[in-house]
Amino acid sequence: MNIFIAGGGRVGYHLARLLSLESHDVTVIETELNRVEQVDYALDVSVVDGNAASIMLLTESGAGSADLFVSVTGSDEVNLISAAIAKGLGAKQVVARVDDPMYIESSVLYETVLSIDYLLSPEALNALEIAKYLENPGVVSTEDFGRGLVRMRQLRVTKSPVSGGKTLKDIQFPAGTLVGAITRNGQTVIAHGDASIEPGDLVTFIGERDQIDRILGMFKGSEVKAEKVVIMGGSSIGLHLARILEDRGQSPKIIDWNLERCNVLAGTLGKTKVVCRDATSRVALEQEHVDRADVFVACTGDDEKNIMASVLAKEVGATQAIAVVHQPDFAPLVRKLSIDHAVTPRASIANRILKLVHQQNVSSLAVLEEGDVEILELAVNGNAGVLGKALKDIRLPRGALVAGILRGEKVIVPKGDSTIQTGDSIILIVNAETLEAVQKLFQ
Amino acid sequence: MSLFGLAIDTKAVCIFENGVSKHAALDRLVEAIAATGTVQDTEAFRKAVKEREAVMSTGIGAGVAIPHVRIDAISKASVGVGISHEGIDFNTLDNKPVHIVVLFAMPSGSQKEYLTLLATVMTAMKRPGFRERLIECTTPDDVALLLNAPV
Repeated sequence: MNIFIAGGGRVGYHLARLLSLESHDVTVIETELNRVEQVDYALDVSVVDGNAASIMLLTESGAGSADLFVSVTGSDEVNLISAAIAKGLGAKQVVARVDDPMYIESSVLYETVLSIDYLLSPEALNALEIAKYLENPGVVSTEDFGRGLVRMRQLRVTKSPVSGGKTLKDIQFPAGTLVGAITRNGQTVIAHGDASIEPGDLVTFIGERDQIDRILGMFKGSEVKAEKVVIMGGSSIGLHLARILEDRGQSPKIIDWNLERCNVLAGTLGKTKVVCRDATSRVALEQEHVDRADVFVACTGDDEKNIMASVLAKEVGATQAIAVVHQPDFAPLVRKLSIDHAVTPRASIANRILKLVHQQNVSSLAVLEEGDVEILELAVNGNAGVLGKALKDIRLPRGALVAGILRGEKVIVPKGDSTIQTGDSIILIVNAETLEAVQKLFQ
Repeated sequence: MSLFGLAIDTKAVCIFENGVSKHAALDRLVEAIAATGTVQDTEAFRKAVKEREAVMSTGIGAGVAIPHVRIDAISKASVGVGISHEGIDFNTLDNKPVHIVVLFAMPSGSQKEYLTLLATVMTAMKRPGFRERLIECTTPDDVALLLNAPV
């Protein structure tokens, strides 16, 4: 695919890297010279130096011929204008990143009037991710596929029946469920029979929609509640999160050092207690009763502040701490510092863009972690060599696992002797680099 | 002029049973609209709806979702309405269950008509008490009656 990315910042750079690794033709448009140089030096992409909202620049650089145009600069307005121009010039699909709630709340209308296919807000998506985590502590994400019959859940495991020498093949898991992938120290691997699971691992489970929570129960300790929530940082993520919690009938506390911002927060929020102070000291956290908090959420724009405050919050006695981490190199570190969960803004938007790119030839899928592992649904081709064969006889690469067979209105969570039949679709968990080879087997 | 500015066909209204999934709800609405005869290719329509929803939820908050597609396989602007008393997990940004699903099926290139319709529906949904009245409907006839009443 021919893909244009306006903005070479954290999100744009990450997207450009992921998409160029998948051998798409990527062009990045960026105004800041040092970023231009960085992208040009580190990535195998074309770089255009200039303003992405310039109609002349977009015309000259051929943005109208893009299959996908993604605008992710730091300015909502630049993103909206450049995406609208690209569409007007002929780009097939266009996406604009927005942050201001005004755009997000009426996104359907903006999309229509500007002919933009998708308005995406990483901040709103992150707030939702944190809110869902608070609803069900430990469960990092949930997605349904296979016509809603199959559910995937990612859990931060607190106990494990398959550790200390035991492996997956030693245990009988509930019927209709399986372990799909395991993330440890930032590395995600597809789960095979010889794998073990340790407390602290992030594990992806897949199964029939009503069975999945039975396998999760084997890896989860007692329920943690998340009623008393303290949010540090009144950024868009903090504000979105406070709103969702208020809707649930909760009264969170939000701490921000900027008086002007606090006034805005106090004006928009109802039941939330807004406190104006710097919360990065131990004394401040104690005075704000963070010791009695069920969950402390650090979501300022500054990674170091978020990590430091989260560690301190746990120190003074908060039950759980969640940190927003923009720089993904920090994410594995976060686990080592006993912070319970890290949220990465660039990942939330990049994963949706990857979905969009892959929709060209596969349907309804999820992207795990930073795009290393994907879950996808493939219709098995009528003359594929695997038809009639049992799964154990198909030489699947190690980086791939069949997690479900969709047959008519039914889903089968497969065992080794399950066979692939004409008309089946399969749900596949696969490493990004193995994808092409596996796709050939089935299509 | 009715509330949505276009007549709602009773056939295109669904009252969802409790426990319905988002996928199943969208399937039902796709088929309901197709039953009115405005869709040439139901599968293309279904695929477009699902793809849009997979990338980003079309929930607009306050328990309302507005899935919308504009494709060649549709000959005439049509709207399907689904009501769930219990609420459906639509993965919306405000994390609230969705009670009202308004599915827009529009022909390609119908920009102006589409925009007016969308704006009318969104305004209607913000009108005090309207959402509640819609959710209270128990039959497709009640829903159509409410939406087709002159305003």
